[in-house]
This record gives sequence, C-alpha cells and structure tokens, in this order.
Amino acid sequence: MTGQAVTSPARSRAEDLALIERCRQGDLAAFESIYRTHSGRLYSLACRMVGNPADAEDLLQEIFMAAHRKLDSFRGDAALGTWLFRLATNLCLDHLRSRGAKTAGLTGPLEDEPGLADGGSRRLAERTVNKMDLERAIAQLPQGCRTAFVLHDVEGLEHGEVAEMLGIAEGTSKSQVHKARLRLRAMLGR
Amino acid sequence: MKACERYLNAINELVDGTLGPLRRTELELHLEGCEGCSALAAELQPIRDTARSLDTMPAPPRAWAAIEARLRAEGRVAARPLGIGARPYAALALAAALVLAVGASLFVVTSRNPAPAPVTVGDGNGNGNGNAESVHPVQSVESEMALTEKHFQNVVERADQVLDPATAAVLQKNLLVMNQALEESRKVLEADPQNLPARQSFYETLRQKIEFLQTTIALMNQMRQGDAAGAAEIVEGGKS
Repeated sequence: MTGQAVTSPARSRAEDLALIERCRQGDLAAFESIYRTHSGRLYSLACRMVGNPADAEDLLQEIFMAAHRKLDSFRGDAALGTWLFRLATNLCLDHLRSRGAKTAGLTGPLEDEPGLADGGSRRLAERTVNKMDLERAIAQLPQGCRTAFVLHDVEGLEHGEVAEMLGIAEGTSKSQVHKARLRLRAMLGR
Repeated sequence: MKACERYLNAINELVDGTLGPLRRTELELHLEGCEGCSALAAELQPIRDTARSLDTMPAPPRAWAAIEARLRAEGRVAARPLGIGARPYAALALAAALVLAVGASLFVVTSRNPAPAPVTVGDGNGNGNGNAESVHPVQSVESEMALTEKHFQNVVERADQVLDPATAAVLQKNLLVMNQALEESRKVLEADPQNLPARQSFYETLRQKIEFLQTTIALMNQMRQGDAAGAAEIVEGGKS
C-alpha cells in the first residue's frame, strides 16, 4: 500500500510490536495508546465511507474490538497503521454490504454524468474548494463511487490497491473515481 | 460546453499526475483549443487536491469509554492498575473497582457451579490413576507462582509503614477479597477438576493478584523515594 494510510504516525515498527505485545498480555493502557494514535484516521475513514457519523462511531468500536481480538494475527509484516486501515476498510465494506449497498455498482455511463458539462454558475477553478462543502458533497455521492473516491482521492491508495480491497477491476476503480469527481464537480459548481 | 469523451481518461490521469509524457503533450495541445476539456481539467484538480488534504476528524470522546467497557466485560484486559499517593482518591476508586471485579468473578464461579458432587478419583480400591496433574490442574500452576506470591505478600504486608492508613486498608481489603475468591475457586476445582469456567476464573484471579502485588510494590518503592510523579505514573498505568 503506497497511500498515506500506510504511515503509522510517530512510532517505529519496533515500538508498535512492543505495544502489541503488551496488549496481548491484557495491558489496557497499551491498547488505549494505539487507539489514541489511530482512532482519528479510522473514524474519518468510516465516516466518509458509510456517510454518517452515527454509523461511523459504531464502526469505530467494532474496528477496535476486532483489532483486539485479532492481535495474535498481527505479525508486524505491515505497519500497524496499515493493518488497522485494512481491518477498518473491510469492516466498513461489510457494513455497507449488510445495508444492501452495492459497493462496486456502477451508476451509469461516465459520459452521462452531469459534471461533464461546464454548466456551473461559478467555475471551481477560480476559487478554492471549501473542505466542509466537499465533505458534504462526498456524503451525497452514490455508494459505489464514494467508496472508491474515498480510498483513492482522500486516503491516497493506488487504483490497484482500491481494486483489490473492493474486489473489482482496476479499470472499474478508475471509472468510479472519475464518476465521483464529475458528480462532485456538478454539486460544488452549483 | 461539454468535455470530449475521448479525453476523459487522460484528463483524470493528468489530475492524478500519472499521465505519461507523450499523452500529456497530446492532451495539452488539445486543452489549448477545447474550452470544455480545459474547464474540466482545471476544475477537477482542486477537487482532487482538497480531497487529499481533508482533515482528520476527531473520534467522539465517548467512543473509547465504550470500547474499554466492552473489553472489560469480555474479560480481555487486565484489572485496572492500582495507584495511590499523589492521587489517593483515584487509588481508592480503582481499589474499589477491583473489589467489585473480583467479587463479580467470585459470584460467577459460585453461581454457575452450585456445589458439584465430589469426584472419586481412582478405581475404588484405593488406587489412584497415577496422573496427579490431571486430577488437580491448579496445583502445578499454583505451586509455580507460590514463591513469587509469598515474596510479594511479605513486602506488601509492610504497606502501612509506607502508605497512608486508608490506602493500606484498601490494599489489604483487596487482598482479602482476592484470597477469598481464590479459596472458593479452589474448592470448586477440588470437587470438579475439569470445571473450565472455575479453572479460568481461578487462573485469572491468581494473575490479578500477582499483578496487584507487583503494582503495589512498585508504588511503595516510588513513595519511599518520595517520587510523587512516579507514583502518579503507576496510578495511570504508565509503570509497573
């Protein structure tokens, strides 16, 4: 994984492993330290993937409960942040599937997207995109393209990594991200 | 004006920074003469850049409390470290919590295993089965821990010389409750050596007791040295 999700903030691999070992021995303070380091990023991921804070908060609990249960499977081959990120992504996807959403579902041909036309009253290129506006617009995206967009454009994963996580073709990942950008352009340009 | 379909992929790759030099040159020539495509490229770029720079949202403050409660309820973390000195109120609260936790485990053992009938070991002719380990699985673990426990116990019995009387009393009360819990578990296991919940409860309580004794000694050492900050760290679980 090459995106920003891989980085394990401010801790070396050895420090992560030491913390994990303490967690395995039932040390709550060690697990809380891991939580404090990674909860913000994972909560943000969950919020953007599922589209609402209440579900994201529930998911955050599930992510860390699952992480604690699976500590024995963490071998340190990947950074702890990467391991948690994958776990979180999978749980978010499970949640979305359980809601009946089609994460890889296409929403129609790219050329039909309204954002393809330059019909906005304000040209985005001439102003800064407001982060809050963008957050709101992301939450309104259809599930399929939102998931790919969050993983690729927000989290910085490569299309191949997004495709692997979502179980779709790399071309489909590109298509979904492009579609999301066009929709966002249409929403933000109003 | 609408962007040209044949350049959509190239525009998105341009925005991603993954477009190769030849296709980039071709696209740039096209963008000079196509208002729709140049507008699209110019407007997708800030969307992509802003998305990449979105802030991390802080997790709701109550989320950790819920996780901690679930971990404790599932018995997957150790008892809270007991501490005193710089923050005696915290030590007393933690000690009280430990008393409750140990009391709860005692309840589980006694309520789930109501007075099982004694198990007759051997063939009825006075001969055992020659496997003392399987008859009393607790004994081997207990004997291994006995020396450590005894050593710690001797030190902790002098706690009232180092700690304030109220805290020392809470410590002793904790030990008493744990010893009672161990004794109850031991009785259940003597009657039913294969009782898994009772065995797990016994080992967990024994482990808690050892940890409790270790933490208490670490705390006493800090207090002897007049290191209130070190004692506070132990209260918070930073040392042991």
